[in-house]
Amino acid sequence: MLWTIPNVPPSFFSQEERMALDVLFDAIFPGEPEQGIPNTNKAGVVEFLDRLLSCDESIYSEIPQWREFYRTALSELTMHIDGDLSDLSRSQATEVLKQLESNELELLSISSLTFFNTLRRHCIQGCFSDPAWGGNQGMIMWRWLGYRRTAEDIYD
Amino acid sequence: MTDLQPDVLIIGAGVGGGSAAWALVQRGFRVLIFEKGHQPDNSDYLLYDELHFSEHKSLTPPINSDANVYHTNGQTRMVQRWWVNNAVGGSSNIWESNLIRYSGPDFTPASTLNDDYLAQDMPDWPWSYDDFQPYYEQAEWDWGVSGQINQSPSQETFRDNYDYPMPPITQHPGDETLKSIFNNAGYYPYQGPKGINSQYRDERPECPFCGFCQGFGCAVNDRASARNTVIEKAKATGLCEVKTGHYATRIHHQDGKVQGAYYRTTPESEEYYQPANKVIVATQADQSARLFLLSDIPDPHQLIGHYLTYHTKGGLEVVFPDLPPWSRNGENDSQNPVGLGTLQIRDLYNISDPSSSLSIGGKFSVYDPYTIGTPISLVNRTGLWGKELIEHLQGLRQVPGAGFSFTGIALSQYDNRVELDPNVTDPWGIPVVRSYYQHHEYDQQLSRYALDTIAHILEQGGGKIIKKRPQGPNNSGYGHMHGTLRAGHTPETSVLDTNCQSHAVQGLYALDASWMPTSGASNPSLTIIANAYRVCATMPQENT
Repeated sequence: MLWTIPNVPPSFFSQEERMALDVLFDAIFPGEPEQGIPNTNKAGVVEFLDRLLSCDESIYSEIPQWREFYRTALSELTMHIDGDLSDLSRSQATEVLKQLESNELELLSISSLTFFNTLRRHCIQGCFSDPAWGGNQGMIMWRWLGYRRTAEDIYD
Repeated sequence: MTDLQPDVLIIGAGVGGGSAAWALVQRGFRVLIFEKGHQPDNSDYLLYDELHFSEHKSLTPPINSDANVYHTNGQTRMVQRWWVNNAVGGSSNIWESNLIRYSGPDFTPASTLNDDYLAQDMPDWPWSYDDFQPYYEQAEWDWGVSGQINQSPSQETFRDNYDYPMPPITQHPGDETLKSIFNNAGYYPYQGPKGINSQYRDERPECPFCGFCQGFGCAVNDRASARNTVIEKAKATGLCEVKTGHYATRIHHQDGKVQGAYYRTTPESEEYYQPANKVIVATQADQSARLFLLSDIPDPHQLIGHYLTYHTKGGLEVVFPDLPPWSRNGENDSQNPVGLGTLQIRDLYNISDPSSSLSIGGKFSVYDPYTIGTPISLVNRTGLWGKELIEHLQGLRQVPGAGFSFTGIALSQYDNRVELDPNVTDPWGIPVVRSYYQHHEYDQQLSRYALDTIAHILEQGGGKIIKKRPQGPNNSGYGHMHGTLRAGHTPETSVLDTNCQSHAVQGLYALDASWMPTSGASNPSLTIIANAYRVCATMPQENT
């Protein structure tokens, strides 16, 4: 039977959570549209993750675990920095990610490294998966990378 | 056929089981195959969606419910069995189909090692290459292997006037450059044999180079699997039946003879019984040993599950900063060329370097990781993020590259083994495999040596090495697995005899790779096929 990519509208994250993820994903893949490098906001990486987590476990078995995981992780991280994640600059967000990666920043109940690895993995998926999943919009990341085509500079 | 008792019950509709079925029906045997999984359709492998098939590993057993357990450094962890496809065809539904013969040191490791201490657990095989050669040829023609002999002095040996049924698939545009870099160093890469159609053959089309190969199913059906070759042929004779959703849970034996097998059809079903005079197990080395253990096959010398081997690996990636991206005919196409990794480098199969104690080596497969590899995997395995990742990818966008993947001998060690896990069960309530595995120092040294040697040649040729990963001590599992039910002349040192029949239970055979006394140093599948043909060519009709 043919596999078809689910067309589920995003409904999991709150607006606040989406803005927080936008900042974190941007630091993992810091695009520079002025230099022809697409960024995660334009590529729709948050849209990708929100749509993925709005699917049920028949799409992929770990989705329910991820829903709980992200909700808790974002909440604990927000408490830890004692402010809004969406207010962080790119370099501040980069610093937070470095501290999660090295475990210097410890969360209450979530493993920092697991959070970092999950964010990174989903960011890369949101950039380079088929646009039907909601990310890599307009194939901009494939076109920039040169996947099956000559690499293209993508200005805004 | 359902009412008649089969002559042979085969457990596992994969490479070994499928090949055995085809060989047996040609001699008039009635064969019944039990397959735990389902019957796939080629359309199951569309769309070309890396997220679903590769990142979400949808064709393989889920880690949440059907994993192995790996025990190392006093701890256990769950291992997702990414190399397994529970369906008719088995792992050959998702393999790359490198179909290479074993030869030379693969058959004579003890003699080649020339070191009594190391050779202790590395017996010379009780068969010669000549015993296998006719079956290798049959396998190559039955399965449709595209290749060509006499390309390179380091290739395997072939009979004069023999050739493969089809020429190799189209060369990757980078192959000529790579070949000349290696030729300058006295190495001779050649286009390796693959079970991939380079032309229409056996009612299956030529490969269109979709770029979704290893780890993905082949929707176009140009790539050989047990399903679209031997099992299809066996079923067409009317003498072979495949029952899907049939999970063999225990082999029944009495007074030293096999009687049949118990099986279930769902996780909740009762146990049913299928009588058979002969039972062939072919569910991969770890799972076949598991079935032997579950069935209390007599094991007076404690050998079942032991001497497990996973091939030694190693990988490196190189870019050529001074060259333009690979493209066909020298043009800078708007569509970057797609090609498979067909090059093999076999010049390190025997190592005779006075400055090294290594003797048995291995070989490399060469890939273009950039234009034909799928992108999420490419970016993810850089391990990078942030500015570093952007800079790295910027660097890759305009230059050509290649990936070198090493497969080498793994020394057989008694303690490398599988057992039944005491705690974890699968969805049917059956204990899963618990593996114990550490690579020998020889394996790790070999991997480093091979990578360093190739890296040096590439650097001489203008390459810049961007990644080098030698084999470490741990190995939680791999698709190239062998041993666990070693074959040999005597029950003191082997589980199976030289016809791959159990020393302890007459009529019980194992025909995946569990019978291999040592790992060899090439992809094992063609040898699994050839051995199944070899054993089934003379398998007695009656239970004698």
